[in-house]
Amino acid sequence: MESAIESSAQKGVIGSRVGRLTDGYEKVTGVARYGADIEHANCLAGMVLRSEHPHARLRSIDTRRAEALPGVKAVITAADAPQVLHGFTVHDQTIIARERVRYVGEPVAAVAAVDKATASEALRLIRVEYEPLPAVFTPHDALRSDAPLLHPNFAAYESKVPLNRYGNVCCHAKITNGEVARGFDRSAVIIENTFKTPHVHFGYIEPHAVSAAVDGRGFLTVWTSTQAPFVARAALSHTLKLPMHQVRVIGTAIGGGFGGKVELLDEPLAALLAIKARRAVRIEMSMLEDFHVAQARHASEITLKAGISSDGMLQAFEGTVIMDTGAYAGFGPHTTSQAMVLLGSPYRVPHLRFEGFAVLTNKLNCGALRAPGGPQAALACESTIDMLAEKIGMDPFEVRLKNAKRSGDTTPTGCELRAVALEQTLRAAAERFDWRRAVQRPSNGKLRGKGMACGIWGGSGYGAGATVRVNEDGTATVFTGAVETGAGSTIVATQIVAEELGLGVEDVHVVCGDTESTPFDMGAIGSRTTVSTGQALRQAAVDAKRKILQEAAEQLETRLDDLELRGRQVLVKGVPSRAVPLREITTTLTMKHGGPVMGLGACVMELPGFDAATYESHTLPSKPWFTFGTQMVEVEVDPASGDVEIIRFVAAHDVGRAINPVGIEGQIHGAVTLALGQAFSEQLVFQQGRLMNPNFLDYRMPTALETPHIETIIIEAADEESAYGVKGVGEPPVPPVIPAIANAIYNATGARILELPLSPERVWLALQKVAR
Amino acid sequence: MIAFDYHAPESLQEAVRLLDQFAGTARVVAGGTDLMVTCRLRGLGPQHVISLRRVENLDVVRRDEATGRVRIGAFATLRQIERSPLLRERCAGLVEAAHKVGSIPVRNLATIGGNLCNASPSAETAPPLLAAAATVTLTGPGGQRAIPLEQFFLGPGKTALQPNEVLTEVSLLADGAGAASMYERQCIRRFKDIALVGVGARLALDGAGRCQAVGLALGAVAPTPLPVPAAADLLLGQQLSDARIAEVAAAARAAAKPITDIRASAEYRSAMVEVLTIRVLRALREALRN
Amino acid sequence: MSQGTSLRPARRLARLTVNRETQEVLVAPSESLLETLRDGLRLTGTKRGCDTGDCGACTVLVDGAPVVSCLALSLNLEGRSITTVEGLAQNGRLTPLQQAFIDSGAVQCGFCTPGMLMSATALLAEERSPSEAAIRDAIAGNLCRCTGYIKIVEAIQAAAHQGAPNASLVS
Ligand SMILES: Cc1cc2nc3c(=O)[nH]c(=O)nc-3n(C[C@@H](O)[C@@H](O)[C@H](O)COP(=O)(O)OP(=O)(O)OC[C@H]3O[C@@H](n4cnc5c(N)ncnc54)[C@H](O)[C@@H]3O)c2cc1C
Ligand code: FES
Ligand code: FES
Repeated sequence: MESAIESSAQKGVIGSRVGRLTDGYEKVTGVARYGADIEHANCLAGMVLRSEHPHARLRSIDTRRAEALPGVKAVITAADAPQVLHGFTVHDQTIIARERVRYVGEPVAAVAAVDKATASEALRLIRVEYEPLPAVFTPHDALRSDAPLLHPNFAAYESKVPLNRYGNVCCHAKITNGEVARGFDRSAVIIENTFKTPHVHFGYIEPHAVSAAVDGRGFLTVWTSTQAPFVARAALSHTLKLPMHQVRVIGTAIGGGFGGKVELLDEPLAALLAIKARRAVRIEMSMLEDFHVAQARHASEITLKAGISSDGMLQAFEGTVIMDTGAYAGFGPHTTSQAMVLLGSPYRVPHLRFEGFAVLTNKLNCGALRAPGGPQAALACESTIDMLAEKIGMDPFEVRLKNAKRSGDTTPTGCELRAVALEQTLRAAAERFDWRRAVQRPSNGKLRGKGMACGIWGGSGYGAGATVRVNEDGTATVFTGAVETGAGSTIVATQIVAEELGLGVEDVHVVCGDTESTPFDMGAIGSRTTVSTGQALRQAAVDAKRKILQEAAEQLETRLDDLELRGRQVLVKGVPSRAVPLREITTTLTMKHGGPVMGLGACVMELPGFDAATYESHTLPSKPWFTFGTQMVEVEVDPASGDVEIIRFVAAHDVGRAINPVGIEGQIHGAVTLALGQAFSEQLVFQQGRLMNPNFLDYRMPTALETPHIETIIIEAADEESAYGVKGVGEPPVPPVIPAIANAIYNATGARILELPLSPERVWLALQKVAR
Repeated sequence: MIAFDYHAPESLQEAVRLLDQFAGTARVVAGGTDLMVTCRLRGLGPQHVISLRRVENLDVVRRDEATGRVRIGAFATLRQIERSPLLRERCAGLVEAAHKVGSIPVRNLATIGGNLCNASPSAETAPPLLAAAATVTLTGPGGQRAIPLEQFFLGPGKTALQPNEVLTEVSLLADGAGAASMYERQCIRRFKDIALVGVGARLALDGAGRCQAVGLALGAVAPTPLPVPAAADLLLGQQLSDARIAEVAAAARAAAKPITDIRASAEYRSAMVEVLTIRVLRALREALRN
Repeated sequence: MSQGTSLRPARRLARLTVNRETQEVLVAPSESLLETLRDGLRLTGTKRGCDTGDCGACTVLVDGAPVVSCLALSLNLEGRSITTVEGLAQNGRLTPLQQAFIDSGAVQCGFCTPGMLMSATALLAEERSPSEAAIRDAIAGNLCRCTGYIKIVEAIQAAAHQGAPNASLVS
């Protein structure tokens, strides 16, 4: 490939603008292999029979006619699967329904046949006898004392974290700081509002696709477009009762994940079919299936009561967070816990009390969509700040500035915040946006207004390993378990290794995401890759560098400290004439030891301390790092139709250190656009537990025509705990988008909208009320 | 997915014969953008499809010099329609509606005939065609018959087309010489979406600026695309004053029979009929002034 | 979640020109061009997203015009010339548009990329320097969940400045 980047071996690679040098060529030529593109000899087509009922007992399943159909090679039901429970926090789920189905779309049986048409015909021949059970579709119904239970004894399931659970509540969490009554006593203004957000789909364009094959010994290989091959391997090993060395997971190219390709979906089914048929099996979901089963962002209802003193200091927050988590706990306890922390984290609030409920309903499982819990909490918190500011007659910018968290402050669970740059992002955004300038009132009858919102986001940690192999000719091959989701992790890996070894980016190749040949990595989740994997990569590169310099010091008879690696050479500081090509040293080293120069790295970001007295039944009291951002937006509202147009969008985010600004801009653009979709048009509509809009016609994501320019401001407040000071950026831009728009619509029209989406109809309705 | 058989006869007569022979189990396929989606999402579909791709001249766009009307072959794609210089000059409302359908890669397949035969209440091309007094030509075993478009739509997905007939041509009044047409719609997503409400209008003014001929039709607010002649007639012989326009819009709203579904409430749809009617008529007034 | 019928009419040969190569392909009567390309010809560069015309991931050129291949019947394209993403680069040389996608960071996950490239290739074949509005209109049928479209628009603009791509692709 002809790289767009001239050799960067001479100058610093960290911080330079790099295009898609690692995966771009394959992706623009159609060569990249995604989940459905992996070829196998004699591959069977797998298909899954899914529940048509939101809640039912499985009386019987008769697969005999399907099995007898010519061309069908395997049919599986729960009887073919080990009796094992699994789940993200609570083990409450089976890989295929056993005795009961709890949502429309839950797998009931699966077949493998010579082609898709035969497989589809076989599904039609399977007879399932359901006995419909009473179902619950909203948290309010599920919380009633006489509500039918989804899981007769939920509390008996194994949980990784102790949780308060009862009835259909899979987690009842609490956080308390100070005494809210005292805070409200000191408040000049107290307001209370309830904010509602619907289920949101991940919206990746590639539906889930997986293939599986077994070798003669029964060892299993699974190719899946997963964000986390090692998570998939662990889950497959657990649910299929296979030791890990017999399970290999290969992460294919991924057509978008956003948190929706982390947990197991059809992988174990493909594996069971392959084991039974003794042939490779591929299951490609249709988009219709994907909409039904592939999780969603939690629908939420957040009630927030807040008090502020007349001088603009926040005094107290009291709130209830209810998350509709669907048929299984899934990411519910986490999302609930996270939303509670986020509600109380951007600003100093001396007294607060939050209760959170993750509630089971007969709907699809909810997962970790890019910043889970973030937009829900931010809508409540940031709308509330604006409402309070107005009541005390203060600019919302001033209120935010006055109350902004600073370094050394803590989250509501007592987790210490380092390198906090909220104030910097506020000031930078305000300067670029020219916040003080009055908004122009257009003459065409439309209404303009401006709004702002801040956001906090905490990344996840977990383990990451990395190996750097320096080849005889001085080029490097890097091994990491972190897959390239498209967020640019392989580019960043290339830059880090090139930087440390004094190479050009074109001298480094990254091998990723294969559990058999790459070191452990938790995966592309929680904005962690650049931080955690980056740290491991740097360590590995430094380890290799040390070995190279030791050899060079011997050869050149100099002190180690006098040597450096730059421009593919080993340099003796101050003596340019004594430079030796790196190639010579690495060739010698390889010959001497009979193997390549290897550098090893590993990282687990340390969790800061927290205060266990502040919370109960909470799954995320601490996170390894946090970051802040501020967004400002100008909108134009057509009062006749309720249409909202974005005139201007400014996003200022602290990334600690910008390793590749091109990638960071791309992450901010993508995250903001994803949230714009949720703001204006995206929602999964259910009627009696059935999804009414499982397609991109009625599930409306932004197109190129609806998407505005997004002006990005990158702030670099280095975190001394991470390599180069980096913080993640994949999720942080999501939370502020929606409240910034809601605040701007209010500023333009006087209509305060507390429920999403801000569709033309909802805006129009709100305007009708204001007019009256 | 439904598995159907495929036939591509050499002539229109042969196509009609096949339709007749398969007696209700066959459908014409044009671009397939509705047919394939129905097969895929709903698992519904015919046993045979008849393609007219081998038959020439079914997509011709021309002006009938005798009548001044514009005639469009039913198999003309929406992309062809939005790009046709003749239509851009003479049928602005239809061009606008065609442009709003789906996306370019969809419009390169989708045909005007398919849009009408699919008979969705929100079919984009219907309101501007109804407003321009369109007729459709249906070809069957007994030859051709032409009917006004408003008699073609019978209900959602239901038309006056017999199982053995092919829609072959659409004809409509042209813009120019004091006449202009326009189409507007309201959606959830601002640009790319299905219409919650569509309004098509065509106005012809006399030398004194009075309305000589008026066509007004609505989309997505009734079981079929809906002409609203009672509202349109309020303009006959009248100047296009704001007050008069408001009256017409209120009458259009009263004539609409919208329902509430997952896309929008009846209340919002009603209100938008009025908003869009005002917008379209004012824009036409503006266009005709120049 | 409906399933097919048992009716299975016979496959037949269709003559298609794909990426400048004319071949006889065995296709089922109800088969979409997308199925023929991916399953029949193993040209997996063209992506299956929604399979209902809404996402544009499957966009290919038919006689130079972009169409959603998931809704096009293969048998309806008998004798037509089809270009897929695999047919853009020639002899390993990328088109300026492909190169611009790499350089601008217009690719993230890359799943929308083949379809985007086809839509943009058709645009650039017709308009040497399209306005931003024309670019956005041309790719409005191609959903991208990763990029917010900004860098994609930039890449198309950059490629436009370098002149139209190989015109023979879009006869
Ligand atoms: C992503 C997407 C977005 C869309 N957005 C819109 C939109 O915004 N507005 C809108 O109005 N539509 C929209 N549509 C639908 C639009 O593409 C169709 O209505 C199209 O115009 C149908 O034409 P076709 O040639 O593809 O019809 P086909 O699918 O081939 O046929 C449709 C029906 O009409 C019959 N038929 C077709 N032609 C004839 C004929 N000449 N004689 C007799 N019967 C015939 C067929 O048997 C079939 O029943 C959208 C479709 C898609 C896939
Ligand atoms: S796969 Fe064809 S448009 Fe989505
Ligand atoms: S790059 Fe992922 S969908 Fe466009």
